[in-house]
Amino acid sequence: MTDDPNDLDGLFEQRAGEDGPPDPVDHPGSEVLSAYSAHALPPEEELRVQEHLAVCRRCRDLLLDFASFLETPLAERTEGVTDLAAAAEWRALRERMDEEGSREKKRTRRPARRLSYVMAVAAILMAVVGFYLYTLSKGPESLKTLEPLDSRRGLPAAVETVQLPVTLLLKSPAKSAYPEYRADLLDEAGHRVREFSHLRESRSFDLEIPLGHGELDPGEYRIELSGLKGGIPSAAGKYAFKVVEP
Amino acid sequence: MSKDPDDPVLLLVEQIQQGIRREESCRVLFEMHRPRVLSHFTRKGFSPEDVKDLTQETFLRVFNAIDSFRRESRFEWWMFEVADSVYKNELRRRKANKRDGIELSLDVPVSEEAPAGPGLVLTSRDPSPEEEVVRRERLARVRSALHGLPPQMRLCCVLRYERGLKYQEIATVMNISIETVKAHLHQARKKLIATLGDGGGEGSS
Repeated sequence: MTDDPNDLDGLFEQRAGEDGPPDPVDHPGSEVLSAYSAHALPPEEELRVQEHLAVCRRCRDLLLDFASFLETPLAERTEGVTDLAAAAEWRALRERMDEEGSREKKRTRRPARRLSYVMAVAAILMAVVGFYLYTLSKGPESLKTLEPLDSRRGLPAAVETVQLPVTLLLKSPAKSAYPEYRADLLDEAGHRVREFSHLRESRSFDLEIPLGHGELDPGEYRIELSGLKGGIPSAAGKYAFKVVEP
Repeated sequence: MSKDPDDPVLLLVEQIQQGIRREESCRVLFEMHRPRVLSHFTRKGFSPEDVKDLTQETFLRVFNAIDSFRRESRFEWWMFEVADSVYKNELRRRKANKRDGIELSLDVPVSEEAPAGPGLVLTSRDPSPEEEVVRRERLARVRSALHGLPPQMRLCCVLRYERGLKYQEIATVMNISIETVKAHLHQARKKLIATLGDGGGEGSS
């Protein structure tokens, strides 16, 4: 054996060809390797890491890779000089960051937004239903003028058709002959369904009979109007109408 | 770990974490480290277009996670780990699972150095039973002689002759200068030859 360096290669030549021992299972933590590469470990710990590196290919490769990573110097910041490629890549990166940011915001906002949609729809529904109910109960009623049946003598008895709610305007045949009137509302069988008392003629000699929604079932009805003078009723006229479903 | 409080990179990181001129600080940090990350992926053998994409992915992750950087390691190490993670994910995504093949560029022997261990294997042949006995005896003596060396010298020998690392790689792994590596190996050679005597090198010249 001579002092030729290749002698040692010869000594190890067979071993180098063998698969080395498997990598150890335990590895130094990331912060330990980082500190080791920065010469920031105490000597004993540094030696322990070196002993590990001698048998662990994974950590050796990591350190070698990191050393290569550091070989490229950081770009210098030169005032007024812009690397066009870097600027373009930065813009692309910014766009992606913005995209991801807005996607993230959407993800976090979604439940609140969904709830607000539901609440808005519910509010609209409530408003629509409320308005519908209001119009049914309080809304403007249609007017229907009824002529006394007696005045149609000689003509076929036409029965006015109405939908509730409605205000019937009874044309007074007596025309101010009585200070007040009473109207009896009778169904087809002649049973009194309602009574409207203390009715007074309007300036156009009409008597108003308000009928609310659902107040009467569909069918034919008659109104017998009586004029009252001194508390004594007198027949003043008869009217007929038919309630139909809206 | 201790760090220079005036380190411009750490100052930028602090500004980003505190939301001070965040966008501008991100841009500066990106421009400073971009060449390093680009080179990293270029060395791994990716196409220029892939290198750009992977670099962008790395910085995207860096800026998304920068608030979690707690200075337990160097920022450079932290960023390197992010890039390494992006690299491994890309390999998994491609289902290539050929990391060693892609990293071949790292293993190209330095021209001025004689190839170490693995190169010699190519010339080896299957030993006869007698040769195998001799080999085992010789290795036992080498091991014993190695244990007599100072720790750092021994580790340099192991890395050089058993693991087949180049001088520069040994210097990097051992965290010492390449001159120190050469000096250790030279001293180790002398000591081993002295310990093993002429018999240790039998048949090896």
